[in-house]
Amino acid sequence: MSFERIKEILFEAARTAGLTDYDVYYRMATDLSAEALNHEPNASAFGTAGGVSFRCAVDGRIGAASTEMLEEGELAALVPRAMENAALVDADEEPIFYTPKADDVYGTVTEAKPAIPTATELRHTAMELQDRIYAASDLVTDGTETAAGACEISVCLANSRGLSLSHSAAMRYAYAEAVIHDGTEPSFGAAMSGELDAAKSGIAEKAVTEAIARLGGKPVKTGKYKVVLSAKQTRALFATFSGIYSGKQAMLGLSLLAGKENTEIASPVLTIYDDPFYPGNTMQMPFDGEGVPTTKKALVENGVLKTLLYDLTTAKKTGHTTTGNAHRGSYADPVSISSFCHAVAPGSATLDELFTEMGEGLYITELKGMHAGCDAVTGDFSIESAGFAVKEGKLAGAVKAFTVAGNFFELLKNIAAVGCEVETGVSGFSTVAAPPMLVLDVSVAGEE
Amino acid sequence: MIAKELLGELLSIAVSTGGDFAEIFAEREHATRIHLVSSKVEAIRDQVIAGVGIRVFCGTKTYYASTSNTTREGLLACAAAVAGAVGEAGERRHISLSPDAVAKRHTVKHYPDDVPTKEKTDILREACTAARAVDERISQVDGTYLDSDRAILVANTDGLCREDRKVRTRLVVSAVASAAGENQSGFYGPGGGVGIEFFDTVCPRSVGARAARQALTNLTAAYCPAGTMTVAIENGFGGVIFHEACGHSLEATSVGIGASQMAGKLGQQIANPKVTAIDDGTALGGWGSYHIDDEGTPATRNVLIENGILKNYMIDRLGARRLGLPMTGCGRRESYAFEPTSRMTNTFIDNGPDKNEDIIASIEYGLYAKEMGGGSVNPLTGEFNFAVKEGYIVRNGKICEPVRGAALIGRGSEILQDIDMVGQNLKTGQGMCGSSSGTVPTDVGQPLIRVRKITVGGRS
Repeated sequence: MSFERIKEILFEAARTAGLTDYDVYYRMATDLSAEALNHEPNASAFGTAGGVSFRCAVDGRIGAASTEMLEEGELAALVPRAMENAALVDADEEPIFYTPKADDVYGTVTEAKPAIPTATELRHTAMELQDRIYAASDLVTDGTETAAGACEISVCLANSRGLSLSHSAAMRYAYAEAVIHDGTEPSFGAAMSGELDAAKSGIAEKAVTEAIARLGGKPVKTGKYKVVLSAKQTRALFATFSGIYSGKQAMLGLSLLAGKENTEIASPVLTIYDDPFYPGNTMQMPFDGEGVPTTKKALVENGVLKTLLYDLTTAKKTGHTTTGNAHRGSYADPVSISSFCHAVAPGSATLDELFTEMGEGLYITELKGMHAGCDAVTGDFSIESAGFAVKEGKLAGAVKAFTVAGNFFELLKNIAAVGCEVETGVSGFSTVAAPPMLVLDVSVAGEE
Repeated sequence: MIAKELLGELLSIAVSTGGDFAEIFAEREHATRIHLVSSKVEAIRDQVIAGVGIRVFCGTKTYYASTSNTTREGLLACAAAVAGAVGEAGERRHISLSPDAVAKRHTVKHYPDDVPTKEKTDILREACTAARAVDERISQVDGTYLDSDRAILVANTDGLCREDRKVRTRLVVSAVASAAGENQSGFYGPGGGVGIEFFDTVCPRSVGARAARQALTNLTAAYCPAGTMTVAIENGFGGVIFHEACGHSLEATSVGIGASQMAGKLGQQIANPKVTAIDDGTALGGWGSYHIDDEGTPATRNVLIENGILKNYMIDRLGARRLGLPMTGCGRRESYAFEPTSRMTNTFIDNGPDKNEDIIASIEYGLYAKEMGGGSVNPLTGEFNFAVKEGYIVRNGKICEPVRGAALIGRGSEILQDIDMVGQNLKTGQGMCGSSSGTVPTDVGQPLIRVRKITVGGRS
């Protein structure tokens, strides 16, 4: 069923029910993937999934209901369901639906939408990655998995105030995981890219190099260390704590950044943007989950917190203007607040220069179990880690089986230098881009 | 959900291009999620999830197509898509289905749709109000009520045709305690594979109060010291240690492709003889229980480790093909959008020979981990981690001051040998487990145990 027809059914049902303020949000994703294992094609998948949600205001309260069954009766039933739910929500302030303005400017995506590859093309990539992994080392063994895939997401949003928007974006990815065994221990390495050409991306070789480098990892002595976080792990850590910039979390007392706008919260070397049109990201987004135009903005500039992120309701409650960061995690989720591309601005140091500046310390290339080991409310983290020892500014052997612990708000102040090589993620409409960074004074727990 | 004739037609199309087996999974789920924060019901997510997934095997190669378009045309297109991925058009054969029913053991008294949403918001409000009432330093309470009523149908080219209905209810409270510009959090989230009668035995007020008390304990706690220590891990969600250190490595998902530390070890002594571990998908009303798995296989009580000896893996349909071993009824998926794989259900270390008081008394200096958070593992190396949410230093056999902010890390094969005392107060805790087939509800559990030596990721 087309979005136009869905909208027609729901708008008609809403008018009949006497509603005046409502919106319809539709999201449909098509996923395609191919996997290979131990030299052979292993799995192939194709799927379309999505649905529609209806939100309405009743007596100052917002109610919503959603379904994946895009059939006339099921859709019309969303209206009474949403109205019943609205009656149970505690009224706070008058709900806000976005009224489009004549001078609204929706940004233009700067990256061309990548073509969706065929299943054969994806299988070819997965197999080529297999061949390249096995060719890269004699240590490669069974369990080596590769994959290639693509995803296209269509989003439509319309409301009773004349808003009618749609956007479609796509991404492609290739993944290589090398499993090796040197006769005494297994090891693994993994790499991902938005590039399907295995020769161009080099991820097969990268995965094997990483797996070999990890062999023979030694324990680390418990103590305080300087660490360089790899770009990938900076991304992971900053992604885990990206919710602290939500104006709503701050309003609810769930972010320690509440009331800290225009104060120094981080080292002067740190600048972070939210950039819905981040160069290279094919999942750019011109409007937010409420239909407001999206824009690039600095969250942290030279260590100073410039703004938190807001949607219409939170902005009104806290006396701010929306930053166009209303987020819908899926077609069914209530509106929350999130960045689009949480982008840490690069510094000038190469990775080697960061090692030189550190002198002695650890290069962290793995942080595991972030969902469990980090608490965004307190900022505390304690995370299983692995990486490399750095001595006299040079890599000096693999290390593993230790934790790094600290507090994210303190870590922000302890960033001594930011690298220049940014890594971007391959993910949906919300992602993180970051370079490596040198952090002082990190607690490490290992052997006595 | 889908007429028998259409199921046969879809299966016939799916295996017409060279596949040796095809399976259809259909579901319709009504899920309610109520969110309360700052003492206000903020949002109600009221969602209908419906769709179909069709899978074809060619030996151990799999082909999968899924769709939320459940019209006849949508389903025929889905079957054609998966068949097209397998190979060229071939001969269609008649598929004969033999619907049967698996004996029901889990009963539901009050289905979610039969209970007014108002009653559910009242339960949530009661829990969150109780959390706030514990202490004036409780500055925020964030609560979520969840229920789900999921009907599934599985049919395959072996003639299997089975249906099941799975109901789950859960209440989750997170409390924040604040003092002197510092926040600390507490969490409790019990759930069950039952209807709203869950609250006949679980008092919402006690759920809220428990989360609040944990936040307050952490507010007065110093950072946990770092290093290697003896650790006593309490029952209930403490069982996450087995889930991460060993459970994932016993799933056919990794064992079947040789990417597990436990591959090839059946019959070997892999754990301390005091350790017996079980994955029980039949546990009455269990958070991870069901009658049939998402491949139509009846749930089983699967003894994984008996007195330290590895007895079995968790084996789904594809894993059975890869390993040449019988299925254990553990093929699970978050929804039709995911291809199923071997997953844990209700997994626990059974009661052992040691008295709980002896376990604490045996520790000269160490950590008592009372409440645990989630974790993760690499099944290949067995390196795992999980978070301590509420911990205390043990000194001279006595539980002393609280400490906070620590992860425990180790290697599964070593930790299983280092579990050297197993107590007698088995209890389970509820969690959500993520893997390649999505996020599914799983129980973890154990009695109080002692781990001789483990790395504690505190502050140095």
